[in-house]
Amino acid sequence: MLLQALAQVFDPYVLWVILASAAFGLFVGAVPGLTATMATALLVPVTFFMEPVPAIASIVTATAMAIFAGDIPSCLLRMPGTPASAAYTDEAYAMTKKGQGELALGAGLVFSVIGGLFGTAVLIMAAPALAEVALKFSSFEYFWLVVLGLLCAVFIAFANPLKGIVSLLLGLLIASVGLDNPAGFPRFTFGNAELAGGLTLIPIMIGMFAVSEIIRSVSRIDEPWEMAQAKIGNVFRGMGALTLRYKLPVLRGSVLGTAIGVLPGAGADIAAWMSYALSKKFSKEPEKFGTGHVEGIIEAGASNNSALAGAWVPALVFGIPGDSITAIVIGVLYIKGLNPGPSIFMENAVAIYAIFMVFILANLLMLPLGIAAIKSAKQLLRAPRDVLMPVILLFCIVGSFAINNSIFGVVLMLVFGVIAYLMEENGFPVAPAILGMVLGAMLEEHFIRAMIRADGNFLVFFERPIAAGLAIAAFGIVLWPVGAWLWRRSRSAH
Amino acid sequence: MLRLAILVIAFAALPAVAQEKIGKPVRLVIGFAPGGSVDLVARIVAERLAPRLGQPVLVENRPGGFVRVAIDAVRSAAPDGTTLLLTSSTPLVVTPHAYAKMPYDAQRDLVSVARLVNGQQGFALGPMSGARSWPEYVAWLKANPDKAFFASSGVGSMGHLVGVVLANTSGLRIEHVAYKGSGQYNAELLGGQVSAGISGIADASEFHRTGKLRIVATSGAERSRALPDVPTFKELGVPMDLSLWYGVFAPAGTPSAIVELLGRELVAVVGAPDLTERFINLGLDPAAAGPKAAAETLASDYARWRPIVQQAGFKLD
Repeated sequence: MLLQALAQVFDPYVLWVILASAAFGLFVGAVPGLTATMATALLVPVTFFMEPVPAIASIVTATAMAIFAGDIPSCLLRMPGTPASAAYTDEAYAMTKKGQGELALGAGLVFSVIGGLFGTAVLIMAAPALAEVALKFSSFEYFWLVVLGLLCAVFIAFANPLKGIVSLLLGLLIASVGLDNPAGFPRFTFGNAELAGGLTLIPIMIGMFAVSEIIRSVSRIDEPWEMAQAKIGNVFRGMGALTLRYKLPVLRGSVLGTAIGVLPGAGADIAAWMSYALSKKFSKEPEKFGTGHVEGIIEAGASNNSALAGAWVPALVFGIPGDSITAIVIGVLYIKGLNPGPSIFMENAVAIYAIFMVFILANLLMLPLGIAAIKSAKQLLRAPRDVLMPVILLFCIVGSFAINNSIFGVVLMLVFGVIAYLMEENGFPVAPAILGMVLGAMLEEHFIRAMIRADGNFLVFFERPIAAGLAIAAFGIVLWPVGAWLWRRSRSAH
Repeated sequence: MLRLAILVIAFAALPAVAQEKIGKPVRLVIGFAPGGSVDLVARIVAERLAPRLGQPVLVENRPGGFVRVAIDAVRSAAPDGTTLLLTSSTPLVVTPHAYAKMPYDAQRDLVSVARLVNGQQGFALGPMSGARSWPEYVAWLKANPDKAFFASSGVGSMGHLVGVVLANTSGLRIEHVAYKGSGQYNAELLGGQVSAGISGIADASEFHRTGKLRIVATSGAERSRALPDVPTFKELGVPMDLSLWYGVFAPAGTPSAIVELLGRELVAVVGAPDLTERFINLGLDPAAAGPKAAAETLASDYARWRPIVQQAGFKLD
């Protein structure tokens, strides 16, 4: 059976499809505003003409490439290609400014591959069992998971928790705009249809990271440009040493990413944030985080790519999407007669094995193609600032428009670019605001849903074992610094 | 990017359009993110429609605000047949009655081009209650009033409304819990976190076939072709005739020759025998009809839903 599957994958046509989708995925991921989900949606009509294995292969390959490629503009230009890279955008960009762009991108690439392979291995070996566990998660558990994600970001990942909280609250406020809330009530819509649809994350993210950087660059036009020193040498230099040195963070990132990916209600975005925070919490040198330190990128990079594979677990076993990509994939699976369900591993064993092989192949292919992409992208840094900045702005505009084919996206991008510039000039980090937007709607939905089911009794949030465990972890994060402070105070008083 | 490029080319070619021919690529706008059944139907239709029109047909996802963003994009587009809305009838005939103020009026702002398929809602049971039929579930519900919840794919969704009507007509006390999309609540149904869900048959039919969930009743006047073994609520003694349909609409003011042409082609697309089977597998019953019939259905449905929504006490703002 394995041989049959091998023959299906190493068919010249299938290999050609994989290569073409890889190039497509790299392009889409590297252009800010075009997401891995969009790459999948654009591939769907093409898959109508393909056999099942190449059809799924094209999606698997394109999405893996797109998620990695999102790191390239994120690292070089501070424009995260996907929300999953936003967690460590500032860290990677700081490395590029220090002239360590090659290390940041190389780490992003290599540890994306390792995380992806880890997630795939779990998918192959334990999909049915894990999917059963994932179904134990309900709104009570998701609520605490989201709270944990938010607290991680605020209390661990940033130097100044107070300013982090202000930024986070701004993000939560932005997330509440529109009609799509549990009550269906119009909030801050002012009778405008675009506002009724809510504020789309991608244009805001581009604005807050990239446009604010452009404004800052313009405002300091007289100072020498620090990017000029950035150079990119051998992308792989030192990767072996990094793997040995950070083997625990890599493992932790891969495990957490896969686990979160498997949950139908959480994906690569929250995985990357939690991993970045964990990395800092358990690091031997947490003071280096935020100044261009590779450790967090390693853990979070492994985490978001392993989440991508993890999301296929509930998709294949139950036909329940683990993220927005697998939501589209499930439709394609049905069209191709590969109906998801526990029996898929028996009834379509050859095709499933072939798909697993494609996962491995796609992750390995990421290495050579990723290097090629990094090498060509680094030319950007050679361009003079007065040429580069307008071109970046142009890309920002195109990306913000393309996400919904709407001018409103461009307006959002510009407005939030200015807001983010003002925030950063005053020491407020923008990343927590992005996290607030990513998780705000989830926080509210799960809370309301759980409260309805608990008939308004908040104690039910602590009654279920997994929920209680997550709640304890959340309170631990809040109370730990307070406890540590009190302890220090009582000691110094003596 | 591709869409943008095509748009640019399209604008460049603006003036010279013959009356009965679509001279530019067509945008099929939908109000949902990729992945749901509206998206799937749109992609199937777009693929078949393109060769018939001799133009590319691009599906454009404009999610948000209960399809308001998509409706707004289409009603303000040039009325030349190149920007079309594909939607379920819910936001056009149901949602307007649930809000005091509505920014759009489907019959004023849009022209009906075609009706494509009909869709019923299915009442699906997960493993939580152990019930295998509607009477068994009613008995369980009475014994477990603290677990009397049903899930739907969102506030204002057809599933939500069917649940409200069901509670009102059957006298059962069962409360609504809104999820975002069917994937999320199917996970909770399968995991035994909530006992029942109401959604489009398409969202649960595959789970029903494999026995993971059990659809015990459907909402329409007659049994769905996709689930011929499942009785309707009417057969079970609960008076109900609620279903929705998917249709295609153009901005008001689109020349009737263009509307007729598009309607004709869409009816032909949906009528293809191989597609009939595909739609039924999706839990949708093909019901192709041209512009006139679609407009009549829109008007009669709009009038029919008003008292139902009002009696149900279904108010959102």
